[in-house]
Parts: sequence; structure tokens; C-alpha cells
Amino acid sequence: MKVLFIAPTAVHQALIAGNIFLDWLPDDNLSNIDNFGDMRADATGMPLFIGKDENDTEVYTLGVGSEIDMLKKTIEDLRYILDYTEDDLVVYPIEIKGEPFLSLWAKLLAQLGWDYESPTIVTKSLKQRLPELRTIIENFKTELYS
Amino acid sequence: MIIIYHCFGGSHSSVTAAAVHLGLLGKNRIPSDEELMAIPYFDKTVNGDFGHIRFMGVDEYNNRIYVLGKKALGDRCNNTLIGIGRVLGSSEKVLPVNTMTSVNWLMKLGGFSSRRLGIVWPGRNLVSYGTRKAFFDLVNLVEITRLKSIQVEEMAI
Repeated sequence: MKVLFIAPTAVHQALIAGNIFLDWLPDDNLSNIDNFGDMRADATGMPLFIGKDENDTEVYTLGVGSEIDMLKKTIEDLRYILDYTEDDLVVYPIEIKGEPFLSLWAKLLAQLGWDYESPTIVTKSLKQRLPELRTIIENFKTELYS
Repeated sequence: MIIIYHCFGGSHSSVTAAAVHLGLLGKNRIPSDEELMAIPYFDKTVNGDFGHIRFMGVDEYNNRIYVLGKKALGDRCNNTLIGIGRVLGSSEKVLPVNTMTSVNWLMKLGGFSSRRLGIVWPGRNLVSYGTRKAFFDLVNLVEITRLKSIQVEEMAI
């Protein structure tokens, strides 16, 4: 099975979600996450492979801008057209408070050349939302494997 | 193979390209307003259609032709569709085509008036006129796409 976390960028909320899913984020040190805030990894629009969990589930992230619901529909339609089901690919949108502001800020700074790491304000804000994100992902994982 | 023509609204340029691909419109002459309006989905989409990949038909090589309205995703949409195909292990089956490269300002203005503002009569006339002006660019894009699809099929064999 494959799990795809979608969010405005592939390298912020979605990447944190992927790392929580894989149990790779024991504390709130976001700088330990590979590619965190690296907008260069988000630039192409290709899904980003994060890793595999103990059940061999492959975890990916994808940045879709502000059109999260629309892209979810598109990906699920393509999955159906290609004759796959939710047993093969689960699309999970990550929607947390203040998200549009964070993404806009990260994208603006990326345009100005600051694309290699997460700006402090974005990192701080995401750290504050970490408990909420942990709960969301842990519930999702429980549901997925139940 | 699955060919997905995509544009902003999935209502005009992508639908026209798909119609040319499927032979619903001839390639050698500019279609009339009536012929354009007779194409399935042409200037008929609603907000809920954004993001849905809609089936248009099957071409003579058994390729399935679809259209998609992807809003302002631009070329990123190509990579996303190919990338999802790759994640599923079927990237060679997906050929996305961005038809926005053939869209002129008349189509943008007319499409916006007709679909977003709901001012159908002048908007539809404008978009129809713009589509006719862009028609041979779209035909060219379809021809390139058909060649690409044949090449991809040959490489797969």
C-alpha cells in the first residue's frame, strides 16, 4: 500500500505528517527531518518519497498549492482510471489552522531565493501545531490498520 | 494509454483538443460556433467539475482520452499526474497535455465571463471566437500528442 499526504507544499505539514506516520519524529525537532522546508524538493510537483513503515507501506508527500480538495479529486480519479483502489493508494489531505498563511510565506521567501530551508516563523508556527498533527496522524494510522 | 488534456477550466481548449483528437472536429477547417457548442462539455462545466478527470472517448489506437480543469496549476499538473502514475507503477500509461499553451486572451476573457461570472451570452461568443482563432494551434498540439503516444507505445513494446 502507498500513502500520499497532500498539503500546500510537500516539504512542510505533509512532510511532518509523513515522518509522524513513519515514527521518525520522536521529539519536536523539525530540523532533523530530511528535506524539511527545502522548497527545491517541492518545485517540480512530483510526489516526494519519504520512506516505508514496518508494514511495507510506502509514504509520499505532494505539494498541491491551495487547491487541496481539487487535487485530491484528481488523484483519486486517476487512481480509478488506472484501475487501482484505496487499497493501493490512500490520499490524505493535511489541513491545519493557519495553513494558507504558512504556505504563502514559505512560497514568497522561496521566490526571493530563500528556498533551501524553512523560515524561522514557519518552523515555529508548525512546531506549535505539532501536537494537533500528531493526533490527526495517529488516528489516521489506527484507522488505516484496523 | 490514457491521454489527459488539461486547461484552467476543463471547458474550452482541453475539450476542443480532445474533440480534435477523437475526430469529433475535422483538422483541416475551422469549426463553426455550432460545431464547437455540440462538443460534449464545451462551455458547459460547473465549479464542481474542477479537478475531475472526465472521459471524452477512445481513439483509433485504443487510447482513452480525458479532459481536466486544473485551475492555475500550470505545468506542475503534468508532473503531478505523471508522478502519481509512477507511484502506482503505471507512469508509462499516462500522457498529460497542457493545452494552456494554445489559449489566447479572448478565450481567457470569454471563459471567465461565461463560466465564472455567469455572463453566458457575450462570454460564450467571445470564447467561441477565441477558440476558432486558436484552432490550428490546438490541432498542432494534438498532432504532437498523437505522435508522442505512438512513440511511447512503441517504446513499451
